[in-house]
Order: sequence, then structure tokens, then C-alpha cells
Amino acid sequence: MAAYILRRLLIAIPTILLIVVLSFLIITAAPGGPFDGQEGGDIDPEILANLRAAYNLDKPITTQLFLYMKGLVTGDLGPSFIFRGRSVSEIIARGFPVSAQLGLSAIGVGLIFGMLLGVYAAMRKNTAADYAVMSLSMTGIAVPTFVTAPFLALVFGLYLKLLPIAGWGDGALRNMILPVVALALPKIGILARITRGAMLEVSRANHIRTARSKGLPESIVITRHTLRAALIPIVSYLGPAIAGVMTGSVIIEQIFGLPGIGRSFVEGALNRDYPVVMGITILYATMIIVLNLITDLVYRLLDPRIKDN
Amino acid sequence: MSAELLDIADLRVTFPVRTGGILIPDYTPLMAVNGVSLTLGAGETLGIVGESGCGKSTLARAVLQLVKSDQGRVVWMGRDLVTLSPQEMDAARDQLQVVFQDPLSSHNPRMTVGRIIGEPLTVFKPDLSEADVDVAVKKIMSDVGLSELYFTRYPHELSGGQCQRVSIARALIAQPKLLVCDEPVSALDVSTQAQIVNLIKKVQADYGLAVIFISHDLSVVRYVCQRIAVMYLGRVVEVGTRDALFHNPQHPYTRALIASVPQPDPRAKRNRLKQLISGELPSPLNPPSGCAFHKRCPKASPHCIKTLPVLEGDTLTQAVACFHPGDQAVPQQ
Repeated sequence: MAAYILRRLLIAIPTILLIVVLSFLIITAAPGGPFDGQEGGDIDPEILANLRAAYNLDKPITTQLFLYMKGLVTGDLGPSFIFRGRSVSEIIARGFPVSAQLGLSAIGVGLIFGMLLGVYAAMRKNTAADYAVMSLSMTGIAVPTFVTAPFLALVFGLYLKLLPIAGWGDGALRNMILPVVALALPKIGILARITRGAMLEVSRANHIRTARSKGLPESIVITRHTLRAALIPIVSYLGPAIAGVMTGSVIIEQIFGLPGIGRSFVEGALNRDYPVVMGITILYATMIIVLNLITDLVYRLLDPRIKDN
Repeated sequence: MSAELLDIADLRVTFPVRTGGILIPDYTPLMAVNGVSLTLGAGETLGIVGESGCGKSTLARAVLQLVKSDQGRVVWMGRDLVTLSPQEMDAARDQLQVVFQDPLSSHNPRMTVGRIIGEPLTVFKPDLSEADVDVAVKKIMSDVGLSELYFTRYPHELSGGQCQRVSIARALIAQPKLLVCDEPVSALDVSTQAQIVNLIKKVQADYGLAVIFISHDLSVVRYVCQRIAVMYLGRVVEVGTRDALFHNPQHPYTRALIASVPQPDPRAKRNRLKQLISGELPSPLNPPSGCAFHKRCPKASPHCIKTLPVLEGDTLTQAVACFHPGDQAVPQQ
């Protein structure tokens, strides 16, 4: 087991290196630069040349990449080109906890309600209750968050005045509720559908019939035999979903005015703030790799037939 | 018949099959089991034989309430199982256990053999400690010829025969009175089949079980069962003791089935009654009128096409549902 984890982590190193090189080349290949079109018209060419020299932008691309990698191995993600005096590490350190808290809460809410609804629908297969749950979850998936988020803010914030319309409030529960709900709705829908499908798939298996013939009560047949096997597709979905949602939801953070990294990422991309974009990309890639590893480890817990290799 | 352990009366199971109609679905009932009446005494072994799709397995599942029946009674020791609530039925399952056909897929692949076998005890005897369950499991494993080494193994690490031993151990641990074996050996090698059949005979004697043994293999059924019922298209066409059925088959279908058993002696083969049936099993969605067998029957008469023959005789010795049983010549019309 330990050897397996170590092997997977060693394989992760060249993967991350490749991602760094590719994303660096793609970002710098995009037209424009960090100091184009600033307010107040073009910058004086001499100042621009100094700025480019200060951030090594005048050097060949291979040298830039080499310098970036050199910083990276010492844990230095470089300075932000746009927010002067702030390093990328600082930006991530400030925004990531917000995004992570938001994302994990949304995944948690999605998991609880999604699985409950999915199990319920599977138990009532092809009845009105099943169809109602499935159309609701389809609605949850189909309606984009940029519709649900303002709608929630409007109803619960502006009209009912129950919850704050926007703002982070240092992560107070009141401020979290609306963004978490908006973020969780599609997750609930997807997880309900995955759970239902997986439950139905497993419930046709011969060993479920055996479980019933043993005389097990339905509750045990469902929890111990059916749901456990149905967790595999749920876990497969969950790994990448957690990575995605923790590294920030641009739309939700923008609408509710939350200081997460999703906003920094988009602003960074629009402003050609290369180090910010690179930093968050590397964070995302690392999280995907780590979560995929965790997913594979959970598979082995859920299904003893999965072995090394 | 009140002394009987199990009394199946006029049992019918239908499955709605969707036929045509994209927008407005149309359902035709498929009569998988059609008015079957059978009895089983304590410690008796009843074989059920017939072609694929004749309703053998459905009959077994309907007895165990694993599928719903539309009509009829399944009286188990004075109680009609059909009328029990799911909770009451679950509580009664310690007495009615089953061994399924597919050795591997019948077991939860995520459980160890020890847990698979012990699980019925955790529901029927919740007071038992985990250690007591383990002791009981190991005892029953040795009874069915499984080494304790397999206690912590998973089903996929076992051979088909070993998996079937696990099925039998799992069924026996609740100390049932009836063991339903639904094609227990048809997925196994012939050499393994013999071991498992002998094991079933052994536990039947040791535990004093009543057994319903379903198979399409007549030689296996002949070896295991005291009484045999022959099914055709959801109905019992002949039932009787093993000797009566094999030495003096009355229904043309039974005669054909027995004639189709391969003979190990090539000289005997030449003298064998040439009565192999031809044709396909008719669709159970649209069964033939009258006697369902008339389309393939060498003796079919106009009467057979119009009228359904009922089972006549003593089902404990020999009863047949046929207008022209035995060697009796067909009356010329």
C-alpha cells in the first residue's frame, strides 16, 4: 500500500512538470502582455522596457521558463505582475481557504441530498415519485448557476431579507448559505442521478437476490449490499468534482462578491498576469492528481477485488 | 394433506411483457407458472425438471416469495406465505433457504466468505457475539467441505465448486427446513457436479432437510430426488415417484425427456425408444390452445387441441395430465 502510494506520487512529478511547461507555453503564446492597454493609455516605451526587464519578459521564452521552474522548485510562485507588491503565494493563501470552504460545503450538501434523493428514487423506480425527483435533478443540472445565484440573492436577500445578498463576512454561516446552495444545486442533481443509476444497476445483480433470500431486511439489503457497490461511480465523480469546486467557482465568487481564487484566476487570465494563472493552474493540477490518488485508494476500500497494478 | 410441510395450490405467476406500442404501451401477460399444485413432505426431495423457460426457476422463486404470484397459495407449515407482509416473510426465511445457479455472481464480491456465510445469523440471531458467529461459520464450513483457509477469502478467489459450497453453507447456517436448489450444478464441471450433488444429498440426510431440486439434467435429478415433477410451459404435466417416472413414464413429454438422456452403453442405445421430440418450445406469450404440448406431441388428437388435460392420479405416487397417457394407442377419428 505504502509502496503503491509512493509510486503514484513519483509518477505525479513528471506529470506536473509537463503541465507546467505546456501551460507556460500556452499562456505566453497568447497575444498581448501584462502591461498592454493600461488605463491612461500606453505606457512610456522606456518604462515598459524597464518593467519587462524587471520581470524577465525581455528574455527568450526558454530562459523565462527556466527561471520560473527554478523559482518553482524552491516553492516560489513569483510575483503578481498586476497587483504589485503581492506574490502569487500570498494571493493563493488568501483566496484558497475561501474557495475551499465554499466548495467543500457545497460538495457536502450535494452529497447528502443527492444520495438521499438518488436512493429514494431508486427504491421508487418508475413511479411518480421517481420521475419527480429525476425531473427536479435534471432542472438542477440544466439551470446555470448564473441564473440560480442572482435568483437566490434576490429572493432570500432582497425580498425576504433573511440572508445577506453578498459578501464573505469572514466566512460567517449566514454569508455562506446562499453561495453554497447555488453551488450545490447542480451537484445534488448530478449525484442524485448517478446514485439512482448505480443503485438500479447493482440491484439487478444476483448477489442482491441472494441477500434478499437470506432474509435480510430491506434496509440492510440497501445499505450493506446495494449502496456500498453503488458508491464506486459516486466516488469516481467526486474526485475531480472536489478539485474543481475547491479551486474556485468564478461565477459564484463574482456574483456574491467572495474573495476566492476563482476570481483571481479569471482576472489573472484577462490581465495576462502570467504568474497568477500559472500558480492556480499548478494548484489545480496538483489537487486533481492528489484527489485521483485518494479516489483510487477509496476504490480499494470499497472493492477488495481491486489490487495493485 | 395437513401433514405436508409445503402445499402449493394453483400457483400462477405472470410477467407483463411489453408488446408493441411506442406511445401507448401494450402489455401481454407471460404465464411463467400457470396453476401449479404440488406438495412436499418433511425431509422429502422433490425434483422439478423441464426445458429452459418452462417456469422451473420462477416456481421456486414464487415459493420463496422472491417474485410475486398473481393467484394461488403457498402454504408453509400452515401459513400462507403469499399473504405475509415483507417483514413477516423475512422473519420466516430462516426456514426456507436457497442455492442459486450462478456460483460466483450469487455472492457479494465485496464480502469475505466468512461474512457471506455468517450474515444470515446476524439477522436471525442478533444476540450472538461476533466470535460465536465465527465459530458457527467455521463449523458449517467444515460440514460442507470448505477449509477454514477460505474464511477471509473473497468469492472471486474461489472456484465454482467452492463458491457453490459457500452457497450451501450460507443456506444451511440458518438451520432451514427447506432447501431450494435452483440448478445448483448446471454451471459446474461434470466432476465438480458430482461432488456438489453428493454434498447436497449428504446435508439433506444430516440436517433432515426437505429439498426442492430444480434441474434440466434428468440423470442428476434421478440420482438426488425421491419424487419428480415434469413441467412444460408453466404447468406440471406429470409428477410421481422417481421409479414410477423413470420406469413407467406416462406423459409423452416425460417419455421424450427420458429418451433424450444419453445412454452410456452404445448397444442399449439401439434398442432405445425413438421418441425424441422435434420443434421449438412454443412462446409462453401465446401458448397453444388445449394441451400446450399438442404441437410437438406424436399422439396429439383433435381433443388435445381443444381441451386442457388436468393432472389426474395421486401426486404422491404418479399423476399425469394427458388424454393419451402411456402406451395407449391414439383413438382414430
